[in-house]
Amino acid sequence: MDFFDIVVSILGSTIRLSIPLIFTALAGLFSERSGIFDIGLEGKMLAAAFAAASAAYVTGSPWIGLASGVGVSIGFSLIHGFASITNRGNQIVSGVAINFVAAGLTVVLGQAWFSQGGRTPQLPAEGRFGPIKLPGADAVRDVPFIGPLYANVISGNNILTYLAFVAVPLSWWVLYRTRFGLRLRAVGENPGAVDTAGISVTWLRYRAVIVAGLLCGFAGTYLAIAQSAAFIKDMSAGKGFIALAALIFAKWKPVPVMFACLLFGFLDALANFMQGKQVPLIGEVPVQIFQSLPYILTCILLAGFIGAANPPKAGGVPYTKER
Amino acid sequence: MEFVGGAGFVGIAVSLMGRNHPIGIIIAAILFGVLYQGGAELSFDMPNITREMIVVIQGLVVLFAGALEYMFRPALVRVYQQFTKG
Repeated sequence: MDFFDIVVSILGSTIRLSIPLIFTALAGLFSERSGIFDIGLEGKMLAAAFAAASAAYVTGSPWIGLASGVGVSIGFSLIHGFASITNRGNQIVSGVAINFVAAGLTVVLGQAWFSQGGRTPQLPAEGRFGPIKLPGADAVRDVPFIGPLYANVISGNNILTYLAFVAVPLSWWVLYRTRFGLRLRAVGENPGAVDTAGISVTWLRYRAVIVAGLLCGFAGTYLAIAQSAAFIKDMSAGKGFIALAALIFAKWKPVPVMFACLLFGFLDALANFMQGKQVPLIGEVPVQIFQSLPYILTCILLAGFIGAANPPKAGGVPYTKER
Repeated sequence: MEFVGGAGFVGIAVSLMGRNHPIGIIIAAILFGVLYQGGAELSFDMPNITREMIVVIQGLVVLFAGALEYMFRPALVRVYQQFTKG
């Protein structure tokens, strides 16, 4: 295996590992830009993964799996919205509660329905989102450099992967070029001003939370029925928290969010690749070092290199209308 | 792996449930300890109730007692006021 093949294989798995992070971080972006902190991303992703895997197994259709994953995730975000917008509860507590309920309920229901120790049964190939071969992938495969990159990294992914990369510019457009996006950004900075302009803060925040649920649903579905073929207990494995780190790293902006997620995905892919391999001059490096790199990098870069990351000003504060 | 068993994460919930007050945290921590131990014994006696069921119950406790604290408060205050008036 020469060096170029290694690069292509690492880049390919970087793309695969970044997709759930991109969806989840964009979900956090919409929610936090509207002033609702959301540490329940992890739980929503897990619940969506379970719903998608069970629905896809029962019906045999990945699209129904996607729909139910998104539906369950939106349901959870409505609970979060009800607690933190309507009832003005603490947003962190609500997010923690959602993580708990999702982590427990997926395993309990999985055990009750399928009796496989909290897993869902293995899906057949037609119950999953399969790879899509882009036109001309075979034709250019032998072209040096560009050929393998196009054939193995850009082509051959499933539809959710391409959707993630469409979702990034779309989120940018919605946030910065539409009336809804302008109001959404305003409500996260100064909800009082938005209310004075006669726009409902509650309804605006609910819509932001619903968009977050939608995107988390895509992330969970990707985990369960595109990347693997079943739901496994705790399969989100902290991705929701890494996505939050990426969001802070990218200072709550859509395009930097994509690059931060790709960077974290790349480090993850590198950690998988370096398992048991020799590093020149050092010897074998424990894989845990690579696994902790995203967190170390976030700390170091935030502490000194990319400047202050200022969250939306009204984030975490429930809005109370003056009477 | 996972030696602390998620104690740091549950700790966030405990401190928020205890309303960030030292005495409250003791009470909330005891509540969570009771849930853990009771859950372990329950799943020992009844194999149908798994450890994950306890996590669900903890989640619901945090949700209703922590995040939805203002949902029932007006009604409770009204009941209490009628009680003290009469």
